[in-house]
Amino acid sequence: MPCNELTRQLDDFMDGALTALASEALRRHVESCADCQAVHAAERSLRSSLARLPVDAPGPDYYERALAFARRQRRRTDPRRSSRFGSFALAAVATMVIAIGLATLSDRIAPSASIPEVTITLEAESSVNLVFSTATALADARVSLELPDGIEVVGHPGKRALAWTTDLRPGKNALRLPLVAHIAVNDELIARIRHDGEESEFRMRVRVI
Amino acid sequence: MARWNEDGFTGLITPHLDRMYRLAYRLAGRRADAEDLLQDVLSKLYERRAELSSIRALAPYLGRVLYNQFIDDRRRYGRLPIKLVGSTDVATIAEARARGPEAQAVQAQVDAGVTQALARLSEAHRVVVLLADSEGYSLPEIEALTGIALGTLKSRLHRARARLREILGSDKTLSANPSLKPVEGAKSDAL
Repeated sequence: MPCNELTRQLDDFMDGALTALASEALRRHVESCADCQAVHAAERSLRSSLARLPVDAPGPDYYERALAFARRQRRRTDPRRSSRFGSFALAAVATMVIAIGLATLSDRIAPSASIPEVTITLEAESSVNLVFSTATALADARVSLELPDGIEVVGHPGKRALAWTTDLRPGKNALRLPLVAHIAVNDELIARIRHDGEESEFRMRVRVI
Repeated sequence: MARWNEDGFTGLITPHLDRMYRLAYRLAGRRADAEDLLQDVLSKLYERRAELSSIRALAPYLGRVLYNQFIDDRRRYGRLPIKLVGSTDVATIAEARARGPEAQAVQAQVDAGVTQALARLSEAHRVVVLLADSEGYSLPEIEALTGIALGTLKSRLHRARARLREILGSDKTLSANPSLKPVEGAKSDAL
């Protein structure tokens, strides 16, 4: 049996989809061929890894809150501009400063303004400030960023995604982002804040000149 | 809980929540998005609560509603999970097993590499691999879930696995650990 038979029939062999005769013939070949043994072992390893891929458990009491929310809220109108349970609202935009107002988490969803925009210069370090204001302290809030292609946070070359945990104090909290752009893009930077199982997402357009 | 059961919705849905969440997680790729997706589906299902009790095969129905919501969201917002780059050669696991004591650590590294390689698949390929090989759905089950013809699914799964092997086999250079680090230059200060 030529070795490419295993390559050709690998999925069916692994899935048990071959006839008993064909499967047995392939198994005998694999036993006697070092190259095909390696291919078979790699595939078993891959399948094993896929079967083990973890699923992060939902937040505490998520199901109860989600069911309760379904009763109250029914369907949202725009998930990318609003929080399921909370309320974050875009408050003001200034040159290189994005101010995002965070209302109390129990408030209703407020519509956001149009996506703010900043302009930075190619290959020059630029400081972009995100300003979050909150009425109450939010301990251990998770802040995450998705950066456009070709834009990096200084000190983190090649990273498209960054996340960290911080405490937001009542009032305004500034997040200074030293950015550098390596290609001329006009794309969105996405910031997310997550606290106590609630999350909101904000987008800022970054234009590189 | 009793209060929520007044209209039977919670009683009908609760036995399916874990499976629905797992499916949402596999589709969305991260907890926050999975929670959002499931939240949307529950809100939609609540509107149809009168119909739910008459549905005989509720589990596949719920899966289909969830999948359709996922596709609708993708069409409307077109936002994909964060793209990661890099992978680890899966063949190393067989060698690691032979070596013995370090096998577990290497297996973890390989698992992380597989996660990264999955992130490089197209969404259609990633979803079918995750449903088949991570969640153990049969192809007819995936057909019922997605409405995609069995023949199309089979060839898609075949191509997806082949692409996954190709990625894992060709890129051995990057770290297996995709964990995110705090931004050193970004601090949260009260103004």
